[in-house]
Amino acid sequence: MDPNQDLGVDAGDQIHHPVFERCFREHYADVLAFALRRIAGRQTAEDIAAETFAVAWRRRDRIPDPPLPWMYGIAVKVIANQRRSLRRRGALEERLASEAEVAGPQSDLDEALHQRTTFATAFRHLSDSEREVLSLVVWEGLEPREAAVALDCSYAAFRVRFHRARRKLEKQLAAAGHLLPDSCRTAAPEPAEEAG
Amino acid sequence: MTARTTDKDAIAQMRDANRISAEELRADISAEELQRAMEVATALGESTQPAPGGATPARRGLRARRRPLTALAGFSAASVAAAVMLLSGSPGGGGEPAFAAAAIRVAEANPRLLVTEPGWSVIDAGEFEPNEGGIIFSDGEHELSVQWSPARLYEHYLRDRADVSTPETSRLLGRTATTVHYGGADYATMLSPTPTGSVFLEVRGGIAGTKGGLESRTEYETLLHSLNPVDVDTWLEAMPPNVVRPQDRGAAVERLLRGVPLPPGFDAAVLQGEGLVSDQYQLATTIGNAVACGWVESWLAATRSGDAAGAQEAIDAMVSSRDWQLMKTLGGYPTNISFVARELEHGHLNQGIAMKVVNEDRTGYQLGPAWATALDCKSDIWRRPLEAR
Repeated sequence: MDPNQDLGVDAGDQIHHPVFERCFREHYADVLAFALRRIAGRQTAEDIAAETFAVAWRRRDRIPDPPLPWMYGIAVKVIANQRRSLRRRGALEERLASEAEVAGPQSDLDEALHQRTTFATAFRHLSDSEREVLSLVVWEGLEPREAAVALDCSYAAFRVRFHRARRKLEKQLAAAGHLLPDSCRTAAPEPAEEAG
Repeated sequence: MTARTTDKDAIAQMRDANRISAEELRADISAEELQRAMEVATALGESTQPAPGGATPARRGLRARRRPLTALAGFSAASVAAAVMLLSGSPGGGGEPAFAAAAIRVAEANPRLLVTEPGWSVIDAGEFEPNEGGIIFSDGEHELSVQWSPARLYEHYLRDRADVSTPETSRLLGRTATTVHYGGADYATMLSPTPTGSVFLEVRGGIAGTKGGLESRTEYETLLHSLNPVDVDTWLEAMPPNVVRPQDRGAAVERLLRGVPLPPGFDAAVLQGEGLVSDQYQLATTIGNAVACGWVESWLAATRSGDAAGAQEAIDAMVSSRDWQLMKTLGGYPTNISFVARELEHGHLNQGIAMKVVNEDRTGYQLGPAWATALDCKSDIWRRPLEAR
């Protein structure tokens, strides 16, 4: 039997779609972590994960292999909608999820908190899309090729965006006195995009 | 608090700032919780769109939920698709491999370099035109990409990259090689065009510190110096197999167009053209965008002339895109076609700016309209300098 065949849900509430089920069991935690890094609150993050897999369920006969970049691509859009909705209600309570966390037991608490607060401030100066470009690679651990899939852009375009975002982050960190001078670079126009 | 410097680069600091571990979450979620979450997600999916075949949604014990946030109000930037590709197989199953004329044109215009280090092969060739494209080599762990761009942009690239680090100049394969350092083990080298060449090359290691990234300059240099030019057939044979072969292309186009309403005056034969050789994904993108461009243009014309029936026909056609066979080939993404269809359906087609490109000196340009940029409707896209601010 074709594992991609639409098997749906039967009246007994049992989920019978091996591809979707495997995708869910293997990647629910990844998608939840993805949401937690971007949205405050476990409950909201669980809602985001549920919405993301709901979309995946509706497209269960088209789940690609590997599914994770595709799942992240859906989650990016679900979160964007969530943010728009929250902004409309004037109740955006969003932060860098790690900002409020305390350091690990081996760290100097004050220094660690300072570094993370500085980083969070610099990171917040990036646009949503710049944060996403960096996050997909650095936090989600996607290969740049996979991240390009998640963002529905070409590999070359992704690389341009990644380096632009990284440069901007470096400038922000340098401005906060939190990056050694020899790591600082100035942003410049990227001809690849212009050529494209 | 006094600012302090750190010897960690920006990416390392960002990695350190991550306190959410998927592995820890995975370990913390019980089998029951996971099962429950899956039931919630599938029920949610069922609640907004009837499952094919009339499957019954699972609803037992689920808490009330608002409608999911699946409607997308806009799209960010154009997917710069326009990729064209290559390769044919062995005609009739025998004899020497024959390549599509389009692929041969790409190869003939290209310096055709291959990494010759053992274990390295081409893993991706998603963009492939004579004057613009790129391929990615990998050994399964690390990556090196070779992009080609029009020779006329070479000086522009050099000026831009000079801002990255102090360029180092050497000679490689009879060309001027200009290497810049992005940090860590992240290097790029531009190879000058030959006097008669139409393209120049940019060789680049995987992004340092990420998957596929290289580990040292030595590794980069080894790979860089292992690049060797090969003949047309050898180069094309090295390309990955997941491409549409010429003898299959007609059937692929026909299959992808099945069930797709074509806009007035649309010439499907163009899609069969020699210039449009693509892997399945890109072919589906190209076809889908071409059809969608036609329908939006048709809607605009009908709206301008007061042809209500024509406008509605265009809307209906776009709304039907969710059922097009080719959308399945696109992997189930809510594509730009879906977004534009939704905008048309709801009567607010975004005809504004799609994106702004702002340089350091605050000059730049903007692209639009949003719908045409998203669908890559080249003849409809305008580019304007940024207004003075």
